[in-house]
Amino acid sequence: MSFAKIMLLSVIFSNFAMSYLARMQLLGTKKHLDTREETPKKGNGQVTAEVLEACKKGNPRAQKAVYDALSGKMFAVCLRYMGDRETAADILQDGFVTLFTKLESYSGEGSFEGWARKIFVNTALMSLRKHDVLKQSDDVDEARGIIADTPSATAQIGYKELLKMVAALPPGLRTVFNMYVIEGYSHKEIGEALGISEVTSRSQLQRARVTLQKKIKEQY
Amino acid sequence: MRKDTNKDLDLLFKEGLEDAAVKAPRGAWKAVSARLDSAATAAAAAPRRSWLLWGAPAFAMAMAALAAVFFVGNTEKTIIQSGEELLTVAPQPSGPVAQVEDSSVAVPSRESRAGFVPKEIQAPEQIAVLPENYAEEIVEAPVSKSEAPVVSEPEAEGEVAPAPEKQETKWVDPFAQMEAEDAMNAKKNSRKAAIKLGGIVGGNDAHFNSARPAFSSGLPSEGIQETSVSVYGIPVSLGLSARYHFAEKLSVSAGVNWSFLSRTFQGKYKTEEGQFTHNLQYVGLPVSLAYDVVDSKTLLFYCYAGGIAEKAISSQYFIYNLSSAPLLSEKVPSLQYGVFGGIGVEFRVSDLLGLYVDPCVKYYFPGNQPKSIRTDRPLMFSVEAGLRFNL
Repeated sequence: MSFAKIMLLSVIFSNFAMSYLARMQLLGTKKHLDTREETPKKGNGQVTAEVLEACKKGNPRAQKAVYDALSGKMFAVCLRYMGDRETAADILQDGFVTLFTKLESYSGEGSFEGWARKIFVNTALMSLRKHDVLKQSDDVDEARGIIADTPSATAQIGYKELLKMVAALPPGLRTVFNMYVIEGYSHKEIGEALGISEVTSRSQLQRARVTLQKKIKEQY
Repeated sequence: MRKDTNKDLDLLFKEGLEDAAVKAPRGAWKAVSARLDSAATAAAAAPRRSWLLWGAPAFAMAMAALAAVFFVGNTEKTIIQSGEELLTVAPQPSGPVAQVEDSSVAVPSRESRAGFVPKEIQAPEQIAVLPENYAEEIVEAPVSKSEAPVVSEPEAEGEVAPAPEKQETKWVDPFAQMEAEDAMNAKKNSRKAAIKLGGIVGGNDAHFNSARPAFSSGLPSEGIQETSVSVYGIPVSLGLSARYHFAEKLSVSAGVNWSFLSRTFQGKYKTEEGQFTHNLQYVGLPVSLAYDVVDSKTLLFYCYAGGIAEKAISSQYFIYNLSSAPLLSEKVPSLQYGVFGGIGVEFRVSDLLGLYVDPCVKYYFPGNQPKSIRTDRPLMFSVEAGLRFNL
């Protein structure tokens, strides 16, 4: 058989193979869309494994269930990091889109809420880094002026007021405070994530504390 | 005292905010759902919109039938195989390396962390800032869908959101996702540019001797009288080109290639008479645009179209068995232009290397070119095969 005939046959065969693969890909996507009409089992509002499996298949009701279970907490996370409601709402949307599109990467180990929270924190940090609002120089001497006494009126401070105080902080101080105090990162981790030094992270945390204590004292 | 103050303050905000919930804005879910639907629709519609996916096999069959009509399959010329050359690519994903260190302030240790919910919080012995009934504000009841546990805005008065039970979980590296994303993007961008090295075999029936076409059949040689029709050899080409992806599915390719055309005929030159061989060598610059139809980890299926401009660098006539030196050499001043289009498939051997096969159809515009298979049969079917190296 001549070389040209061999090449022709290989071309024909490869095209059939490509068509088959492409059709399988198309059918797979179509099947993915068809499963969106299935109704997942409803639980007690928490995110169960069955709901997650349905979410992975693109079931809109399952996605809504996950949204309802997490939106409140995650919006609070977004508010803490972004400071204003409008930007936090954008981050909330971005975070949920990322969560549902990357749901396959959740291995099942650890808390799903913790995994989701990580996504929202990362989304918020990326937005803050993108707008370059995190790199702030800090006056360490100023940060040392900590008020020693603590007002007793903090007994009446609810979470809403606490959230407002944190949201009112400048972006750099707010981010470091959130990451260190609420999320539990170390200064080294904060420095690596935000592109700042550990010294800056520590000083910004101190400054945030001073600012918050001043607000507590003023208001209460 | 200062440490205790910081500790108390941190504890105040941590206990107050780590599990706090605020009702999401109205319409947020609608926006999220719309984005998810558009992403799913785009993923499903791409193969459907790609009519080339369905037309490509039909096109290949048509080309195969066309080639079968013109190809008899006498390979009179050897095929130049492509060579090998490895290029090193090592995109290194970069990202923060999260390491835990103990802080002077009371922070749960790495072993006790559970995602973003620490396994336990070091409660201070004296919580001066916390009221006696402080714990009552943070309700431990779990949040359920049917309830409305949170207020819509921080300023509004309302009920306090209950905090669910803390779950004991393993600590997860918070930056692992960022590093994974960086690695994925680096890998994705690693196929943005590529170099290919391949050989082209194409042509028509080597024993073509049907009636002359209506268009130009090329310039005859000066001084050589052809006394028979020409027998053409299958053209071969060798090329090197670079491809760059400027969009997700679109890429542009440019390169250089060398082509060899030959024909034999009976003729007479001055006092010499016999079988003549006419060899032509072209150097060309092909430019093409390609669209990736199917792109998977191991296979890439695409279609492409473009044009080429070639310059004849050698046009020599030899007389059979008389001398190895050319009997006559001619210069070809003008350029030859052509267009081509086809489909291709690349089998990815690794992230750096792929084997491709590109059948295509070419058309060479008539011009002041020496007589060759291109002038007599300007519409040609060819197959290019070779190696593609991803940068």
